[in-house]
Amino acid sequence: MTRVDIAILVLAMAGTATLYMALWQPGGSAARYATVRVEDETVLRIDLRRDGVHAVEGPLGTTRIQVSEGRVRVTDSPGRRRICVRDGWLDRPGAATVCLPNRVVVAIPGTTETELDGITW
Amino acid sequence: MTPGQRIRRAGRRLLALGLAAAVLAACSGEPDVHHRRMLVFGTMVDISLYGLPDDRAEPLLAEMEAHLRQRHDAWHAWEDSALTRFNEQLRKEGRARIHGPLRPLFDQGLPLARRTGYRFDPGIGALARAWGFHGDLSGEAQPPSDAFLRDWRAHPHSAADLERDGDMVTTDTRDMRLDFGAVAKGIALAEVHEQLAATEVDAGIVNAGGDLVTIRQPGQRRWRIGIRHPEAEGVVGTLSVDADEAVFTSGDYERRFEHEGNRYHHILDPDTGRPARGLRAVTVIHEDPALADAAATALMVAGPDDWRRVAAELELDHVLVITPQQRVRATPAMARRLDPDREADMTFETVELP
Repeated sequence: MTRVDIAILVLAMAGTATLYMALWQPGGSAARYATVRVEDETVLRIDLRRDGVHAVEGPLGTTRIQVSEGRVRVTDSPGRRRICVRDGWLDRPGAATVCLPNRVVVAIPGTTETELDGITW
Repeated sequence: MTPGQRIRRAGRRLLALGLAAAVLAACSGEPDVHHRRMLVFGTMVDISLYGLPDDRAEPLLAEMEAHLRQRHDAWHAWEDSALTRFNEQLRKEGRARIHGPLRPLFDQGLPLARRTGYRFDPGIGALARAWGFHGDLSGEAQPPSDAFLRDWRAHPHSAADLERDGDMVTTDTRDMRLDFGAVAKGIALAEVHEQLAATEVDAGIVNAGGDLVTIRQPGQRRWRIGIRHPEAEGVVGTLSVDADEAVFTSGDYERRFEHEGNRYHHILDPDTGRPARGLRAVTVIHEDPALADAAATALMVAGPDDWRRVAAELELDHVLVITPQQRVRATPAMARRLDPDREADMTFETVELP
């Protein structure tokens, strides 16, 4: 093996590692960010790799959103039934919840091949 | 081999590696899909279109959104709309004229009501209003008084008592309010489907708060649609759905309120004047979204004893019901479409239609 061969091997391994880091996602579906819309307007784009709490204002008041361990959930929102709070954690692309009284939609964009095309209820 | 040859050979290998990397990177690219979410028809409507360039998809999505908003504004059963103005006139004068955007509601809604034996009945607007379902249920919703319900059962309103002559509708029933809520979404999705199917879109899906219609199919595979579990997280199973089909579900968990420890949901039985009993949810697949919508409601109203007979009368093949006893009962054609989720804590059975 010559020095050039070794150089190519090293380069190939480095290239593979770079591609792996750039493209590989567990299950091909790790969610990286969530969007928050109020009245059909995107008001917030949340990085799901950063834990924290967020608040957005809708017509009825404040909707509170928490991010933890790559997941996002609504912790509080005005409205009697609070369906979006009960929906709990969202962690997959395509997941979404809607706080209808306060016109807030929290969604993780995208879908994956193995996921469903939709849900009927 | 000279150093020069070695370097050239190394260069070629690097080039090959680079090409392979480029191919891999291309594989990871997002599919050519455009989404739009909008709040309309009291729910979240989600449109996904595949295989269109940006400059074609975005205007098309905007056009569909505008269409749905226009229908929502014209057909709203309690906020100011062409329909509520029609209702006002009908209540005052006993007659009112169908015009413009109301035509599809009457042209499709009234025959569908008749076909379901008025189990889906647009004539029950006053009843839905008395139950508080003409509102956001955010106040202190409560059932109507016993006196109101007794009176309703003695003199129920029904679209069967409308006379239609051309565009003129007359009725002798006092205080009749029309509410096409159980079919409006279906009619609107049929219109959106027709418009999208006339374009060059590869495939698409329009999901209006759990009721959906497909346009063509995604590549060689069928659409995969989960059926939401009535109370637990997750789905009871996955349906294989073909090109240009509608999937509509009515469930007792959709719009509802609690009063003094009892739950009341929005699918009202025109005969009893109370929420339909005995089924948790009904899912229908049909090529006509309006029929699928009306049928899902009518079968909820028909209940556990009658849904199969009514489904047969409506000539449905693909029906699935979920009972309070955690049973999923599907017609043979529907059972073939269903991949049950074995963790769903449900019993699955196939039932023939009469």
